[in-house]
Amino acid sequence: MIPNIIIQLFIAIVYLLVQLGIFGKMILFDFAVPHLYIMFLIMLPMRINVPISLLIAFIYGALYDIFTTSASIGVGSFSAVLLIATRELWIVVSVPRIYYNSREDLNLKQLPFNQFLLFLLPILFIHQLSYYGMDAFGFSNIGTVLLHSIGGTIYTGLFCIMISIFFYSGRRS
Amino acid sequence: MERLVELLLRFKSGLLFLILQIISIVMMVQLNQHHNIILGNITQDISGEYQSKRDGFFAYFDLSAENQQLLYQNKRLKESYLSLRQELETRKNISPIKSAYRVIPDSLFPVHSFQFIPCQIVNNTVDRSYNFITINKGYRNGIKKGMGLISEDGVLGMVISVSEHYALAMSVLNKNFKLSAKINHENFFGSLVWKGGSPSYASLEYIPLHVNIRKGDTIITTGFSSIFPEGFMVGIIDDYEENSEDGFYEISVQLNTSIGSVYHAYAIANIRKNEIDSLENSIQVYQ
Repeated sequence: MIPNIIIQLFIAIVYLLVQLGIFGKMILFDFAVPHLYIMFLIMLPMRINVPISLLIAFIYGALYDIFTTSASIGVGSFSAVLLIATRELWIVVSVPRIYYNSREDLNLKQLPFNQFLLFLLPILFIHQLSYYGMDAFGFSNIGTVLLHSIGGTIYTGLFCIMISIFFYSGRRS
Repeated sequence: MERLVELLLRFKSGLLFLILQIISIVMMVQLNQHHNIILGNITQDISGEYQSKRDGFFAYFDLSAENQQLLYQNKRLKESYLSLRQELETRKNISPIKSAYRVIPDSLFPVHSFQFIPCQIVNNTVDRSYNFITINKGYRNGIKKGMGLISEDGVLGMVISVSEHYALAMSVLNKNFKLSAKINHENFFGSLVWKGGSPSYASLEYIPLHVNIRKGDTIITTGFSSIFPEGFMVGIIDDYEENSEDGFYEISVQLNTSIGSVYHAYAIANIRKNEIDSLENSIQVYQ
């Protein structure tokens, strides 16, 4: 248990550092930013229960808010908590029961690629929409918010797929 | 209590989700100026909207008092209008040569002699040959027999009987009612009577045939009767015929006031009526 926590903590720190140091500066066409750090939350082990996952997301998002200069404080934690909530709901809908018996058994690394994509993209889009929506904090710039959200989803999605192929697909069939 | 704890535990994820989102929003609003300003504007809009809705709702309860206030305001305006108009007439009639003898307005003895008492109509008939109007003010409020009764739009009738809190007025729509009225642009006066029929039309009598009249001409009060001040709207000429037998027009006047739908009225008190009446009664000595 303790080694697992240390591993997750290490992964979280690496994601945050890579995000702040590299991905945060890889802005495409002035509107698309890859938010790769959320991959940590998406791939958070399902055996961690929901309230703890929510708390981890909140702290993780808040840490990102504190160290980044690209978004308003609170936006990261809001969208990270929403991401976990969406993940918990969407997983029931998008992943067929043949891949798991109970929620705790589900290992996202073992999902087939197309199934993983179907699971990944909607929650990514909801995260991006809430992130840019809360940053704008109104409906006056809804066009810009949508453009950033779609661009961010595609851009982040590409990196997430690459990361999942390289690091999370060891046992993927 | 146990049940409450059980319920909270069952929905602990949902509750925690809500709490964390609220904390995030509070952080956003507290720590970012942009969010703070937007939320401030939204709050201001909502509270402004709520305030105006609330004020609108409670204003309904004050409508009666506001109506009363408006009636009294109208009364003051009508009195000052009369005063100014009469003063203007007086000044117009003084030639520059006689300017040394110009009348200086005296606040103790105002030029106009009419006062308006706001009242409400509590009963009104328009479907009989002899119609009457009851108002909710009596001699306690200064109403006296012989006072005129007008609405915002024009003449209504004349007070004929007064009790402590109420007064009865003979309506314009009464066959016994006669009103001294004139055609505004011609200054020829006649007598306005109602001969029955439609409550919207009356007849103007004794206008000689040589007077140039047109349909649509305005009929106003003459001010000869000491009941109504001069210049109050009565109606407009709807139609007319020349009666060569007696040498007068038969003029149909469309009344300006829809007497059946009037609610607020003013009783007109001429503070010099007794003086005028006693002076006019002295004529009998010479007849």
